[in-house]
Amino acid sequence: MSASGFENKPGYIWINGEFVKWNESYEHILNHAMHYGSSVFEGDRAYNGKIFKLDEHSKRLIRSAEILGMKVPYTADEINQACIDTLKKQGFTNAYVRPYVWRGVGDGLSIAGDNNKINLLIAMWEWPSYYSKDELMQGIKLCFAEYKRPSPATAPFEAKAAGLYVICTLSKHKAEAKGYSDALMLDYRGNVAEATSANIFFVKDGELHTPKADSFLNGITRRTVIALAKDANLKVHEGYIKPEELGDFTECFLTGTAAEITPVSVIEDHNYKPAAVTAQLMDAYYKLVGKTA
Amino acid sequence: MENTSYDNLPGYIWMNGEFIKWADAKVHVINHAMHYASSVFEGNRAYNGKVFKLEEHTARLFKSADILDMKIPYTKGEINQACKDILTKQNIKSAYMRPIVWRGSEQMGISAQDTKINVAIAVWDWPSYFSIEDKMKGIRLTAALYQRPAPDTAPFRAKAAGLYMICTLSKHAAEAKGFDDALMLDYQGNIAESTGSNIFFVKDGELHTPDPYCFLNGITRQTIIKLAEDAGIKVNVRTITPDELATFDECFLCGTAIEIMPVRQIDTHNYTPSTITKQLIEAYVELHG
Repeated sequence: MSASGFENKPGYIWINGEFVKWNESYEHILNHAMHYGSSVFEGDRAYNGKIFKLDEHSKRLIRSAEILGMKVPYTADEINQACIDTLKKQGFTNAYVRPYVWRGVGDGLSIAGDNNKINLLIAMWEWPSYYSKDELMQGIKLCFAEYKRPSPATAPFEAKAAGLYVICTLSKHKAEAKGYSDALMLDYRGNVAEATSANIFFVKDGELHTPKADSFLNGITRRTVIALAKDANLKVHEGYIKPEELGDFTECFLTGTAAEITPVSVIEDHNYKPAAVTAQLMDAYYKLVGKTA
Repeated sequence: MENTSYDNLPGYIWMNGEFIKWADAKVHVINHAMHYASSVFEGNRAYNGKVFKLEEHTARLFKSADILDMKIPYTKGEINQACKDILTKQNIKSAYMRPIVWRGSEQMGISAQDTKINVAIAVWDWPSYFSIEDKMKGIRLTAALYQRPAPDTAPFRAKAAGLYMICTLSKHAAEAKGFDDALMLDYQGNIAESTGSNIFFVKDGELHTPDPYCFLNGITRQTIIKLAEDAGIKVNVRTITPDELATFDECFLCGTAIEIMPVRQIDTHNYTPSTITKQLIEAYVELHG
């Protein structure tokens, strides 16, 4: 077996309370998560050696696991400390942090997995700033996604669960094949929802508009941006946005831990000009996370 | 005490063209499938040393992978042969077989076009747990926690790991209430299936089963429809509403693992597994050998 990509990085992964060498961090192929999508995860960012909103992410991880019927065998404080310890052990200052909870191996392999062990790992990899703010202000292009976000009766949407990302990967691949950076997903009712892994905001007349998060994850960055906007006396409207309204907005951007604030210049045949409000929020966000470009 | 943990069974697992010792058949914990549910699988059965409907299962594995944008680096013929080889290698006559296809560790993000597509085939002992008489007592179902998603929100024709999350949740909740399994409705509120098997009802000597417009059209389901038609039993494939549950005489689930499993209760509705169910169980046993 040849090691490649994320299989063979230097350093360690924190697994169930221990530092395991990265290239020795293996799990049996018959683990429940691989076969039945029983896993949840987080994506945190460390800036200048400090993990942003660490406690919020750790608490959401525990909450996601609970929604999937998995009791994480660690407290939020213990997870926080493990993240801090791993960052130190890896010696990173700017990093992506991936806490991950999964249903492991059991005395069988079937849909029910009550007796399978619940595992936690924390892995991290270096994540420098790939683009300058000026480059980001050019904006990315979105097309409509192949799939819509499922209704709450059919998906545990408040969990950051692996299984909810299948349609995201499919939609993003299709968008990339068409020359776009990402896809805009509608929800099951046909309203604007989010990109494949980032929430979306629009600007009109100096005010923010963002879809109500009642069928997709209410992102930690989304909530942070709403708080920053309110601090700056920008009005924020959370509600239902129809695709027909896309032509009414002047600016558009995505938010997420990885995306931070990423301006959007195109959604299908609608054009946006990343401008003052987006730039102002990017500056405020960079200041808050402690990002030094 | 015998070790029955599934990470340490005797023998081998077929992985990417090689027989790997069972305990060594591992994946790195940072792989795309575990983090973003990019995997599809099959559930085959072997009876008397022969894999039942092997070509159909392999064809569906390829279709599932294709729906998830994964190109399997083997031909169907090669996968069929690998299934036969691992069965021989493990020397099991009556077996459950699990082919799985997954995205590897090359990329960690939503987009994963350059990940390697891997295949493994594991096989384990699966004797007949129940006699027909035991089975005919029937199992008990309760309403599921979740409904099957709409076709524009899930790649429902793929046997994909990610689609089973709501099944595990629904099955756990059913078991906690003292039931064997859960009956899932679809996003429109019609009867769909149980958490891992399709469902049939009997009324006035005819079969009724939901139209699979948003859930997997099981291979066993298709086999049973054929067996019923061969026996001159009319099969009505149609939309079935929960209101109709009280109008049926018999009910059974079907799937590769459970074969045909009579149902005696769905919440407040009672059924008596009887002649039609028994006739189909016998026909199915005869067919698979």
